[in-house]
Formats: sequence, structure tokens, C-alpha cells
Amino acid sequence: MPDLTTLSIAEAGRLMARGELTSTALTETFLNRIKAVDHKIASYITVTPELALNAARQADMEMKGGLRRGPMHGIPVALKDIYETAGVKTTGHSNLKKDYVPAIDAETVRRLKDAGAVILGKLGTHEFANGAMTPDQPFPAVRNPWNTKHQPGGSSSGSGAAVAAALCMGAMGSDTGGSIRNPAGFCGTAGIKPTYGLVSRCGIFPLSFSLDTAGPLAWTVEDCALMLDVLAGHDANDQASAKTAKVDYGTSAHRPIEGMRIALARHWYEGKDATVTPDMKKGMDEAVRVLKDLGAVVHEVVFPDLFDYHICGRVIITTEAHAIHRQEVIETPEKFGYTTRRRFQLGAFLTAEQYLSALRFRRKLQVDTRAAMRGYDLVLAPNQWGPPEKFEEPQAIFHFLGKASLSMPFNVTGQPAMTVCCGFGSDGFPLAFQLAGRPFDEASVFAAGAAYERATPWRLRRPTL
Amino acid sequence: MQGPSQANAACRLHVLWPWEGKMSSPKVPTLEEFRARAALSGLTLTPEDIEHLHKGYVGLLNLMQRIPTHWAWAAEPPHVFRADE
Repeated sequence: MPDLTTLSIAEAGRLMARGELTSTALTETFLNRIKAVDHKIASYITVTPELALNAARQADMEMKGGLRRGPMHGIPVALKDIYETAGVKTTGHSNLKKDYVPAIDAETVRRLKDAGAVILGKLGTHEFANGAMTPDQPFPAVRNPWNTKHQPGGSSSGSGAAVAAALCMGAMGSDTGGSIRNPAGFCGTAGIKPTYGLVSRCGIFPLSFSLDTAGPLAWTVEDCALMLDVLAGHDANDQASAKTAKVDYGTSAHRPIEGMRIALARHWYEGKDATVTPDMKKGMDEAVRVLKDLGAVVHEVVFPDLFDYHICGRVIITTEAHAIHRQEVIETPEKFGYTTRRRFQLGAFLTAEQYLSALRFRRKLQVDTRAAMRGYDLVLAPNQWGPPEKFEEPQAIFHFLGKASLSMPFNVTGQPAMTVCCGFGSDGFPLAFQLAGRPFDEASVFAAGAAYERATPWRLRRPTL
Repeated sequence: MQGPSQANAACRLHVLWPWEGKMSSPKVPTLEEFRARAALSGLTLTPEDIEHLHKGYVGLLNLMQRIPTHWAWAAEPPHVFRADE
């Protein structure tokens, strides 16, 4: 039997289905590893060993009795600590909520539990999915498992770090401006921001209603597909929830990609304003070669300017985050971390006209992106400009004043976008690209991402802790 | 591929959004002007807070020059955004 913590969800599911592995053994192995190594990266805020072992025993009993709930049955996963969990603290990595114990589960947590998944605990995040990892917060900042002197990315920092460090098989994150894809890229995992409206946000702390998206991170693209199989679906309690046909994402991850048409947004990352690092450029060139070898057709296509998406999304997030947190920012500002407080205060200075112009601009960018993508199934772009920042370097308070975000375009358009590891830089950090599909076409994203992973050796390398 | 209704919507929106040449050119508030606005914001802010927020706001405003300010009346923002509309 190989190391159980580095099995994929798909492999563990097959072993359990054949009776060759129990969920209890798997869960115990993860709990032991968390105890042994998590102090080095602080990915967990709360570990729930008793609840996890009870759920694992229940799963084993059901499977022994012939009840197989699906590929997530008995699989140990963890949750970004903005997902409400009945009877378990949900802190948002903030002093404001450090003792908050919800009465009911978020809809996504309920769905994972219904599918038989085992919840190991709650993971560190940037405060309320927006701030930075700063020392003025009630829990330690998460570190990057590839090199603990560096940031793991965020805001779903614990989710990326825990999956990469083999401290859970999959994790839930949230993505408003790149918060799933950013840590997935810097930690070398897979992660998908699904189409806006595909996965319920009910019971997840909001940051920006019109951009917030919930989604999974896992070691492989196929594992993300298996998680999305149980997460996707309409929820009447989420206003933005879409009614869509059921899709078998797990199966789509095995679809051939011959003839698939991919639009490469090269001008986003090799422009006069900003350029990716030479390692990242090499990773992108190599990814294009592999996808072409697999039968895909890759053409360079011109999309709207990266800064247009960047500022559009940033105005919407700044305004909505202020509206959501206004009362606490006025009454108890000292309870926020310094960076979070500043970012939430800034929204007070934006006018209704500026906000509405950004919403109108969003629709224009959505229409223009769709027009640019006509005749193509996917968009290919880099996931990050270069390696993650150093842990000890102070985080920029107004981070949007730097380079444009490579992830924001697909938050603004609402399209599904997946992070796929495409090698390692000379500094040892993972490289990654994004594949974005048409709205609600996660199936094509999974097909191309999984085909790329099968054709390359990058899933064999793990960080050592 | 796009359906006909999507293509029509795109066409209609293009007609409704003649935005070229109508980008915003906002007047950047001085620190004094910003301080006056801060006093009306409802926030409790120190002079240092205001200076810092002023820098952030001016930076944001410069980036916002990319967002058009002149829109056709009917260019309605979505009430609930749908990615496939």
C-alpha cells in the first residue's frame, strides 16, 4: 500500500469501493500527519478528530453494508474557515468571529456530508477572505509548504497549503478575485473557480455578493471534478444560484481533447506593462506545446486589456465589502487586522455612480470577452506572474495598485477557471496556468486540465516537511 | 457556440454603449478635500488613517479612468449577475 496521504481522491475511492482501504484508516493517517507536521505551516485553525473519526466509521459501516454514496464517500477533506459548520467554530480568521459557533452547516458542507465526505477541520484564510496574512490576527499565518519562508497565496491560504502538504485530500476555498487560484498556483495544487452561480454560497461569509464563488482545491484536476460533482446544483437560498442540468464532471475529466480550440491570451502576460518571469514564460510555452501534442488547436487571441478587468472587479469588491462590513468597521475597527480594516474602510469613499459604472462595465467586458472567445472552447493564461512573496515582507495594504490580477478576468466574466500546475521554477516553486471555459462548461475545463496532467510528470512531486 | 439570443444581446449592448472617448477624467481630491469627505463618512479615523486612505483612493481613482462614465440610459447593470446571459 502506498503512502495513504498522497493517494488521489479517485484512487482512494476505488480502493474503498473494492474493500481494500477503510475510511477510518485513511482518516487516522491524515489526523496523525496533521499532528506531526502542521505546526510548520499552520494550515489548520481547528482540527475536529472526534467528528472526523465518527464520520469515517459511519462511512465504513455503510460501505461494508453495500451502501456506496459516490466517489467522495469516506474521503477526508477540510474547509476554509469562512464555511459555517454546525457546532464547530467558524472564525473567518478574525478576532470578530473567533468564538462564533454556527447552528447549521453551509449548503456546500451539507452536500459534502451527504456525499459521505469526512470533515477533518477548518483552515486558515486571509481575514474574511480579503485581508492579508498579518501578525495582528488571532491565529498564526499560513506558510507555503514548498518553502516556509514564503507566502502560500490567498485568500484560501490554508486550503492550498493543506492540500499540497497532504494534510487533506481536498479542501473548499472561495474565489472573489482569485482566492482559490492564487493559493492553488503558489502551492502547486489544482483548484477551480466554478461558474458564478453553479455552487451555493449559502452559509459562507460573504466578501462581495456579485463576485463570490465557492469551489474546491485538490491535488489533481480529476479530484476537483469529483468534488464539484457533489457541490454543484441549484440552491433556492442563494439568490445567484443557477438552475442548470446535472453534469458528470468526473467522467468529463477523461474526455479526449483532440480538436478542442484554445485561445491563448499572450498579450496579458507578455506586454509592455508587465511580463511574467522567464520560468513562468517557459512553463506557458511548454504547456502550449503539450496541449497541441494532445490534439488541441491553440491560437493567440486578443481580449480586453487586463487592467480593465482588474479595476472593474476591484471597484465592485471594495464597495460591496464595505457595505457588508460597514457596521463593524464603524463600531469595532480595532478588531480587524490593520490591512483588512483599511481595505474595508476604502469603500466608504466610492460613490454610487462609480459602483454602478463598474457594474455596467462588467457587462461590457463580459460581452467583449465572449466575442473574443467566439469559436474557442477555452482560454489559456498564466495563473501567476512569478513566485510567491516572502513571508516576512510586509503585505501591501492596497495590493491592487501593483500589477494587474491575472485571475480577475474570470471573476468579472463569471466564467469557470481552473488552476493547473505546469512545472517548477529554478527556485523550486510551482508554476501554473489557468484554463477558463464558457459559462457552465466546467466539463471542457476538466477535460483539458486532466489531459495535460496525465501527459506531464508534475503530479509526482510533493513538498517535503 | 453562442445562441442567436446571445448574439442579439451582444449586438444590442454594443449599440447601447458608445463609450469610446467618454472615459472618466476625475478630479483628484486634495488631502484637505478628502479629509472633509472622511468627516462625513461615518468612520472613526485618525489623521494617519486619512492620509493612508487618501493615497489608496487616489490610486484607485487613477485606475478608474478606464471605466467609462457616460452610458446610454438603457445600459442597465445586472440585478443578479448571470454568467451565461
